[in-house]
Parts: sequence; C-alpha cells; structure tokens
Amino acid sequence: MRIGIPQGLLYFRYASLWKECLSVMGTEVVSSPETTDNILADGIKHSVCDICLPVKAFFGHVLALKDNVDYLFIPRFIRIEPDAYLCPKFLGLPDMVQAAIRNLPPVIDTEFNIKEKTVMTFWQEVEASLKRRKNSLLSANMNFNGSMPESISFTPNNQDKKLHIGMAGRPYLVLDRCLNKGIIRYINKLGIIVTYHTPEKNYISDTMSMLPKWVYWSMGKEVVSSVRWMLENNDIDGIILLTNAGCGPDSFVAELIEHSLPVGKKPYMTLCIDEHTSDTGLQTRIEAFIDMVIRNSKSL
Amino acid sequence: MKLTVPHMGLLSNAYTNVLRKHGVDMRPPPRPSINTLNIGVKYSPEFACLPFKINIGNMIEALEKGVDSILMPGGYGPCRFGYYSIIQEQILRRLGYEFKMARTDNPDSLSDIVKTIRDISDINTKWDGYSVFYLILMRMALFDRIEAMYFKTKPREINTNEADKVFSESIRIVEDATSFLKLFKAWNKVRGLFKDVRTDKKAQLLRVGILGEIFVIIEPFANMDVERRLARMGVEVIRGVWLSDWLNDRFRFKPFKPNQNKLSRKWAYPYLKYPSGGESIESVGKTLKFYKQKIDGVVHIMPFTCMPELVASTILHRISADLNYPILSLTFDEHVSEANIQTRLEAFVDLLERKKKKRDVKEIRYAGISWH
Repeated sequence: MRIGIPQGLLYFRYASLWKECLSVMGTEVVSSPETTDNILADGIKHSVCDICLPVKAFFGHVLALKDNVDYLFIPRFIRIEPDAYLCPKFLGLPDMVQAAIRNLPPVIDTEFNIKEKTVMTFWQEVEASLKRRKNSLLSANMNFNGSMPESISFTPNNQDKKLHIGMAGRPYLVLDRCLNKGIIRYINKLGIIVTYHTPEKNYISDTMSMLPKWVYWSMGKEVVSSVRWMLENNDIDGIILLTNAGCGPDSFVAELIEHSLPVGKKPYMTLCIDEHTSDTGLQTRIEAFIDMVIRNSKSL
Repeated sequence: MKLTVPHMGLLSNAYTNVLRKHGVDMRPPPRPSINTLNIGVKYSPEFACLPFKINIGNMIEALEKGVDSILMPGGYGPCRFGYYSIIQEQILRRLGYEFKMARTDNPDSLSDIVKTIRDISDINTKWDGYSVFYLILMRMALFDRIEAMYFKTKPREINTNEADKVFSESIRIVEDATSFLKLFKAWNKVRGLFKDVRTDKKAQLLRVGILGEIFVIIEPFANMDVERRLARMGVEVIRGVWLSDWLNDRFRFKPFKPNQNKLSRKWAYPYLKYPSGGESIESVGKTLKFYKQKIDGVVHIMPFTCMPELVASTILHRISADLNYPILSLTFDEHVSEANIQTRLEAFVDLLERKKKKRDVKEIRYAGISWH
C-alpha cells in the first residue's frame, strides 16, 4: 500500500516523523518531488486566485502525487500546542484539497488537536483510517516530537565576506528552494552565510511574555521569537524576514515585530514574495540590503 | 471619558443611546466613508484585511475629534480579528495619539462584557448591568429585523424609495427607544410602518442569498452596498449572516432560535468538516441550505486575504460545479470599484433570470404544453 505525502506546508516540519510512523504501520511512503515551477503552475490552475503561495504549491504537489498512490496523507492540523492555533487554512486544508482537485485517492484527514487528544491517539486514528488490522509496532515509546532541527546554516563555498545573514519566516516558505525564489542560494553565491533558526519552547514563551498579548498562531510565535534570537545573537549581521503575499498571520506578525522588538539595532528587511515576483527585482533588493549590512558592520 | 467604538454595521446604533442614558459619554466615529478608508489604508499593514483598515480609519477620525478612550473587542483566534486591538494600538501610539485602549479579550464571556459595561457606566448593581446588556442585544435584534423587512419590501415597492424612507424612519424610532417598554412600542410602530408601504404582493422575484465574512456583510460601506444594489434590481435579498444571530449563538438571548453555528456545521459536513474560523462554516453550510430551499443563487462576499473565507471560497467553487448552482464570489479591498461590482452583479442577476426562465420552460414542457 502506498501513502503519498505532498511536500509542502507542514512537511517541512514533520517529514521525518511522518515517514517513520507511516512506515512503522507497514506502508510504503511516497513523497512528491521538490517544488518546481511546473508543480507550482499546476497548483495555481486549481486554486482560487487570492490564496497564499504555499497553499497553491501544496495543491500542485497533490496533483503530482494523486495518480501514483493509494492514500493521500493530509491530516487536519488544528493545534500543535494548547494555547495556539495554526492558520485557518490548515484547519480547512483537507477539505480545500478535496474541493479543488477531482479524482483523488482516499484522503487521510485525521484531526490533530493537542488540546483534545494525544499524539498517540492521532496516530492510532490514522492507522484505523487505513482500514487494516491493528499493527502493534506503533508504540508509545516512539518519539513523537521529532520536529525541526534548531538551526540550519547554509554555508557558501567561498566565505570571503565573513558576513552572516539571519533568515526568518515560515519553514514551508523559507526552506522550499522553489518558493523562496532561490534567495538563499543567491545570498550564498555572494559569499555570505545564511542561518534559519527555530527557537526552543522556553525561549518562545519568554518572547511571548514580552509582547502585549501572546501571538495565537504557532508559526507566528516562532517567527517573532526567531527574529528576537537573531537580534540578540552577535554573530548575525542582518535579518531578512521572508513572507508571502496574502499571508494573514504574517501581515500582523511583521507589524508586531517592527513595533515590539528593537529591530533598529541591526539591518532588517521584510521581503514579500508571490508567484509573480521576478528574480531580478529580488536580487536588486538583496544586493542593496547586503551593501547596507557591509556598511553597518564596518562602522561597528 | 469620551469613549468611542469603531463602527460595525448598525451595532453602534444599538448601544450608543442606551449607554448614554447610563452616563457614558459615547462619541461614535463618523460613519465609514471613503475618507475613513483612505486614512486606514495609509497607516495599516499592506495585507491587513479590510475591516482592520476601516477600523483604524474610524479610530483616527474619532481621535481627531477629541476622543480619549477606545473600546475594541479581541479574542484568541484563529482569525486575525483577535489581534486587531494590539496592532491598532501600536500604530496609533506611533502616530502620536494619546488615549486609553480598553480591550475585552473574551467577547464570548457574558460576565466579562457586563463587567466592562459596569466599569464604564454609572450602573451599580450586577442585575442592572445584565438588563442593560440584554436591552442592547434586543435592540440589535430589532435592527436586524428591520433590515430583513426592508429587503423583503424594497424590491416589491410600488412608489420608488418609499421603503428607504420607512427604513431610516424605523431606525430612528428604535434608536430612541431606551427601555424595554419603549422598545416594545417601537417594534409595533415599525411593523405598522412597513405594513403601510404599498407593495406588489404577487411579484415573483429572484431570491439571492448573501453569505460571507460578517463585517463586510453588515457594513454597507465595506461591501459597496451590494444588498441594496441587488434590491434595486428587483431581487429579494436573503442574508445568511446576522449580527444578532452571532450574538445569539454566544449569549442565547433568543432561546427559541437555534444555534446557527451548530446548524451550519451539520449542513456543511459533506464539504467542510471542521469550522476553520470566522464565518467559513456558515458560508458553506448555508450555501447548501439555500440550495435546498431553492433560492436562486448566492453572493459570497469577503475581504481580500481573509483566511477563513478563502477556505470557504475554495469549497464554494466546487459546490457550484457539483450542484450547478450559481455562486458569485466577491472580494473587497480598497481598490475595488463601484462599476466593477455593479457590472458583475448585473451579469449575475441576468444569469439567474435566464436560468429561472429555462426552468419554467422545462416545467411547462413536462406538462405537455409547447411553449412557443
């Protein structure tokens, strides 16, 4: 039996865990290839015009997978921590996919709501929806918290400039090499190290206590905290916040960062991309930003 | 304390006079206008939704007139509305305004709201607080009834604009009724007024359901007056989302009216299994309900980048294709133009008319009579 996992959205956070748990259930796990322009174009054809870029790409991944698998694994993630939601689009994701794309294999749309049930229950329900005999290999001893590594660094071959840029944003946008328009690769090409950082839980809750009200989107929390971490980390010379057009939570989170955190300390830029963004426009802005970072680091 | 609350449809008409009677210096901002929107757009984040921008515009307009306190409800997601007040306060402070921002972060809790009312007014006992809040709710329900009656009367009226005159007269009458007894009398009077409008009772009208995000639906400025445009074209508008229903789902002040949210969850189940915030579940559920009730079509309206309604909109596209049911999705932001909305509505109504005619023809054919 083949289960397909579209390589988009929460895949970037849970890929290894999902693959492990599903293969423990005795299934063959297939994930879609990395995003390409064709996948994105297919997704755009099947989505309403003003929905955000990662969801459009996700539709493309579903289209790329649907004919080769027996099941599609698109769980409904509602809360991954008790006091925060995910964006409303995650809450309706399986329904959106089923509405937008026809002739789908059965979709596993089990609810994941940490406030109402444990992770173990979630996986048991997934197993039940596969309509197979109970498989005892799924045990409570498994590590269900397998998530993002804390820091990912992208190091260029020639580090002549000795600069270090922090990149903040949602993992499914920043770490997707097609959706981020290759800006990490481009900054690397300029000889600069790029770091993506997901802070640990205590640091996030500490950051939330600094704000007038805690952010109630899990990923929004992480974005705010990672910008704070980059501001406090002396190795990092400049910060780029990468968001996409029409991202609801980020429209507020970016504003919150500018008001509540001391972003004036370091060069800081918000880059907003969508499917129409041209590489040249982005490269010009990045080069201008890097120039500013260089000037700033010399004056220090 | 000069208190202001940004507009949301007729809500401010419901509480202003009641709270004034109890010693609150209420200074409602001017009704949202193009000026409000321009100010709002200037100072809001680019991708904030339209209600946020109109709210900010309203607040600045009120602050310019000397208001010193703002009350803004909040919440805890997943929709962005819960975070409005925080961002708005930060933006206004950066602009240099000095004011007190009061937040009710738990708009679902009755005791919190009554406490807020008691804090700002001269009401002493808890009982009075509850009774004042109940009066405000009843007034809101009455405003909604007036609007419903208006949408029923307007397309059928014989003398042009008679219904509009009666509508504004009724709003005035209910606004002045600041006690339960007066409200009861006002209700009888309003019903009489609407009964006296001369209408064509036999007219077979097209019926169109209006669904979508609640702020954009109930604030005529935000939706370019979609409902009245349709009514002027001779279409009976059936609104699916009412502020009083939203309040009733939380406070049960109309005990015999079923919980609309729960009902919608049941109706929407084949297409949307979990409410993804905002009015998404109502939009999907009630569209399916309207289809069953043989209402001719649905206009789905939402602000640009509204997260919950985008989920609904994706699903409505499928429903429309599956059931061959006309659904028009309209997105509103500061760039939308009047001519665009008017043209699209006219085309939609034409489509509905043609569809209805075709259906009638079929029915006649089935009866064995040739139509030509």
